[in-house]
Amino acid sequence: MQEPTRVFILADSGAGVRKLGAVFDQAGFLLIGSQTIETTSPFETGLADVIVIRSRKAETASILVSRAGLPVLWVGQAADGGAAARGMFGHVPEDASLAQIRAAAAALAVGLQIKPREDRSYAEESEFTMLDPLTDRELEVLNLVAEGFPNREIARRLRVSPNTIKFHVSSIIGKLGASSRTEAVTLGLRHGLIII
Amino acid sequence: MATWSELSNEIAEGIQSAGRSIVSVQGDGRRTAAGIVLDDSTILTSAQGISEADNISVWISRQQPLKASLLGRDHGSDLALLKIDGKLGEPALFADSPQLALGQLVVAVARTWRGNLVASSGILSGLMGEWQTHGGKKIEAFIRPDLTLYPGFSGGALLGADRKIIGMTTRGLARGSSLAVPYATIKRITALLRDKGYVPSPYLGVGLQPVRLPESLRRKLNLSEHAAALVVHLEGGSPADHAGLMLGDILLAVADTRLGEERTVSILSRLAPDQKANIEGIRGDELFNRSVVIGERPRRQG
Repeated sequence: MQEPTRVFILADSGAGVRKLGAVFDQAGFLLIGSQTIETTSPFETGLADVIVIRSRKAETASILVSRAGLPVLWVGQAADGGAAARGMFGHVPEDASLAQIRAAAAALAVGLQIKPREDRSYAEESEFTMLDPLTDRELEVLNLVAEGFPNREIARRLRVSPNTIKFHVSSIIGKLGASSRTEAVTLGLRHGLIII
Repeated sequence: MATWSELSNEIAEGIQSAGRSIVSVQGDGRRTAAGIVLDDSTILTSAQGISEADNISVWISRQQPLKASLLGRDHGSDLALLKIDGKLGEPALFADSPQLALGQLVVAVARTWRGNLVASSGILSGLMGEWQTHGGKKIEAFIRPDLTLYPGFSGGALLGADRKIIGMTTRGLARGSSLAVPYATIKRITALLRDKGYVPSPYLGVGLQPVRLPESLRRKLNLSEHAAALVVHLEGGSPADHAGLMLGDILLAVADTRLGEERTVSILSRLAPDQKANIEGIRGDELFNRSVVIGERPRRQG
């Protein structure tokens, strides 16, 4: 018979604590304690396997994490605490389902890391995002540069002044981290920005 | 063995004779270029040499200039066609299949805006077969004469010893290098310019990212190449879309071009719109072959 996961709950208010507690109660978890968050007061996590926090106070949450030494599951808006989320072991969004919250807590308790599949905040922070995205116009200009057209010709085709094109090219070079027009094309090619 | 004066006179005469088919071209801007008379009313010149399409003037001698209009231009090969309202001198004599060799003495001929003939000379210092410009455009031969193309020389002619034109001189094809666009390219491009006024660019409608093929996949599919191209963008309604390509497809080859070895911009350079091509790729660990009809790159008209 499997040992139930021991959960310690932290929330902004008494009501919040009760609600979150109800998620875990009767679901094979053991609620070993709970507390409302107050910035500086200490709390006793006892023999918890995982701490679950539901809070809008991102800074508070991150302070608690640094003290805990235990896996922490944070239930909340990514926008509220992107920074806090980075310091934690696991995060599910505010509107996560009960099943997701329970699964996340159980996974963290046994030493796994979790990440919501569609959470956009992860897309923004992940190591796969390397570039400042180019605007549609900049992509268009980059493709014309890659085809070998000089600025004057690009300006003529897009019906703007050559100065506007120079400005776009500068911006493209900056965003791609290139040091020249030619390098911008090379980097554009490497990142799949050139359409053929 | 020719003497100094014999050689000099021969070159001088060759310049004068070919010069009857060389004109000077000036657009609205300060730039001047040279031009080559193709027939009664058509002139070939450098696309970059004429910045504006309006108010183009052509000098065939030191007399009054003629008015010209733009028939079409192609920046990929730096060629432009002008139409003249009036009668031009003799059409230029091109060398159809010149036997070029490194070291041959060649002469570049141009005309100034005052109508004076000017020339420059040197040897053929670079000679190679078909190549592609930085923008992925095909040029039938790489011809680099070791001579000075002074301002205004682009659009002029490169003469060989037989007094026939090897190609059009230009500095606009490769980062300021002095090159000649070979007659074979001139023939191909001018036919398209006469027909459509521009050169349609081949188009698939995909954004490709170079990727390394994992060892396991290479072994499983018995592939010799190490790199391929991942489809990271697919334009809706494009030729690639109609061919059934999908995001995530790994493309190995288009027609005979292996994608792992080619710059993305060059992949389609040997293909033309309306041409059928085979795409070899990998989807979900399996090889596939799909037929695509190459389309034309959507273009913004200037």
